[in-house]
Amino acid sequence: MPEVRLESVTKRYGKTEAVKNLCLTVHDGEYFTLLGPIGSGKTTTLMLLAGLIEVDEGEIYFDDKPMKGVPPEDRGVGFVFETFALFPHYNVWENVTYGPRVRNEESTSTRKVAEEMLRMVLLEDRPDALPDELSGGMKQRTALARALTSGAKILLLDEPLGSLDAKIRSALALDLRRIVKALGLTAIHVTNNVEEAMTISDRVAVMHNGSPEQVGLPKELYENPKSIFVMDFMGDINLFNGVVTSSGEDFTEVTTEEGVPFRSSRRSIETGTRVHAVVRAEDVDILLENDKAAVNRLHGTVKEKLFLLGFTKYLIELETRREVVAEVPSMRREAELRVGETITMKFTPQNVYLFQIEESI
Amino acid sequence: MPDVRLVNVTKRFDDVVAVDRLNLHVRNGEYFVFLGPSGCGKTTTLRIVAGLTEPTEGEVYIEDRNVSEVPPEDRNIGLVFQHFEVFPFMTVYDNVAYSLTIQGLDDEEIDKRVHQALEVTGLNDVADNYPNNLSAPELQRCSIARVLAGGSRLLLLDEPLGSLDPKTRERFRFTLRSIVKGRGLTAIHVTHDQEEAMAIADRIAVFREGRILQVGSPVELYERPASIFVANFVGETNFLEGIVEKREGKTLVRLRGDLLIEAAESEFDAGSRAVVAVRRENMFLSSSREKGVNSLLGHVVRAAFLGKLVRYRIELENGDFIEVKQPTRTGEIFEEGESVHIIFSPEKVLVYRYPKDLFHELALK
Repeated sequence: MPEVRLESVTKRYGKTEAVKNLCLTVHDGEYFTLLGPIGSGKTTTLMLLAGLIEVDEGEIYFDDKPMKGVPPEDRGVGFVFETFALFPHYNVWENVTYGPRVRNEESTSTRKVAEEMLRMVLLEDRPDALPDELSGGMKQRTALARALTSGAKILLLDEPLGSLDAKIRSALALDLRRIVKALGLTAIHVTNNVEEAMTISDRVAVMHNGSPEQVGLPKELYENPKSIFVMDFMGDINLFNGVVTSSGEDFTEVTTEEGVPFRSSRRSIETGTRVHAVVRAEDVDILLENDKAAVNRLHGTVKEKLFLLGFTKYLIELETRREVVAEVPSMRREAELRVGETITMKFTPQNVYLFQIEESI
Repeated sequence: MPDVRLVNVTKRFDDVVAVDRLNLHVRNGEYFVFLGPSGCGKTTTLRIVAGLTEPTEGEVYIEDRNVSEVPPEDRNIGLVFQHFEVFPFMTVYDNVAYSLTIQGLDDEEIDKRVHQALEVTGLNDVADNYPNNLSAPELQRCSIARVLAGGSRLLLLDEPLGSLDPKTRERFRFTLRSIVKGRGLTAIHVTHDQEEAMAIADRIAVFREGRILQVGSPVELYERPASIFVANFVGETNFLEGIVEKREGKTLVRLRGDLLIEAAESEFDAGSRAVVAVRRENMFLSSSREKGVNSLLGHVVRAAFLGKLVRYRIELENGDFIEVKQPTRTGEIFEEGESVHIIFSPEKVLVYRYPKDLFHELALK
């Protein structure tokens, strides 16, 4: 059960720093995910771990053993990529046992492992099928069984579900986690899909410009996001610019550019500081009747109504013409507003997130 | 404002029937989506409307004109593809002006149209940039601006958001829809992403194996899917197998392990083999049983915190698995291993005939 540690790792392509001074520890037996947009350095990090490319600065340790100069085949890692990379002319069994076979290590025990892995990925009754005869999900499970049969203790997965249909992706995500946990492996998984990362992982690193913006449990990332980037990447947000007008030990009051008073109970920031006040779409409550309060209230007209799964999403235009996004669970009465209706919105102080505007920009 | 009608359209490639006797009417000013898995015929159908593929049989009408013999360039359509169609050696402005220049319009008219298109797509600030200085969403805006400047009233979009980041893709849906609605265009948009279809469309046609299974608004498809395939493809649904029973005019379904649930009214006969479908978000978890609704017992196998939702995988008493998505803020939170009651109202339980082929496919996942 290996621990994976990256210490101040940097990787450059020409002048671009694809991975920047990255420090990260992935624990024994952990299912860890690097989550981020295209170009955030997540795949480069995975390739560095695999030894497919070389670190420019810093060091990678597997169980305290430095990996510098250790070739991919000696690192004890298994890979799964977005494209399945199966041999089309080999059947499932031949694909899965390919590693031991070419190394002339095929034996009763490797065959037993392969059988076990096929059972694990629910393909024990399809050993003779050719890749062409399999669905996308089955192909990816075959690729997974092959990676597992090598006996690797670290599994590196680069968008392993990316080319699959949304339905299968969601089911296979839970399978992947189950298998990794059952075998006690350490898994590092790369994706740009938030729901997938949250479903599958013990911990998640949200990647931004070559290093983790925040590392934490899915719940921590959601409840205590360190930056607007993290909040924005994980869902729909409303961002207001404002200035702190008063603050106490456990609250801060802000007046936004639009002149709306906001109150946050999340942190205390000095009076006069310029801040962003951020409210998530799902934290905007819609009031069916105006309650006459002024703080944390907005008034507007429903401009667009979109139907999401289990949620209704509104685009609401304020008098200032700026728009606010709100999401309401579909089974609630507030989900039945019509386009053109005028409404009042409310948010609780606990759901108003504040971030200081950097003066240096 | 053009409408589009397909009458008995069939397309065969050798032995394969890609599009099978398709009839469809896309109305004036409608944002219409073709939704389906790969290979279902949605792109072929779009290409037939565009004139890029010739149907083997049947007719296509655009604004009541039979266009079967009309080449693509004379159909007055704008095409947008997944991959951005821009010339790398021209500025954004020149890219947008290109087809107008070719048409020989005068400079003033060109300038007017280009500016309008750049305005609508929000590209005014980058008009003098070259494509390699643009982000992916800006490139896709540029291909859309080009199409808009051309003046076509019918937009055909083939996976137009396919090469964008998930987050950007979501935002771009708003942009696309508001451009189409703001200018009163008619749009046909092809996608395999049901969430995208639901968010962007006035109406959706669900394709499977060259045929349209159902046409309806997002709400209709969601609330009244006509078949198991649609229930599975649109939204996230639990399927359980059982036998229909009738009691005091109510439809009940007995699952294996003798679990009994009440379903919405249906004309199924007692004794028929059926599949019940319940949306993941139409089930609620509770620590106590509730009267007057369906209440099943199970235990949590996996609880994943997704943010605004918690996704639960639950094993029922009879060994069947279901998944439930519950809004974080309105529900109790349960841990892995905990016992829970799964509550859902009979109206949310849809009943389908047990299919020979498809259920096997669904159950295998």
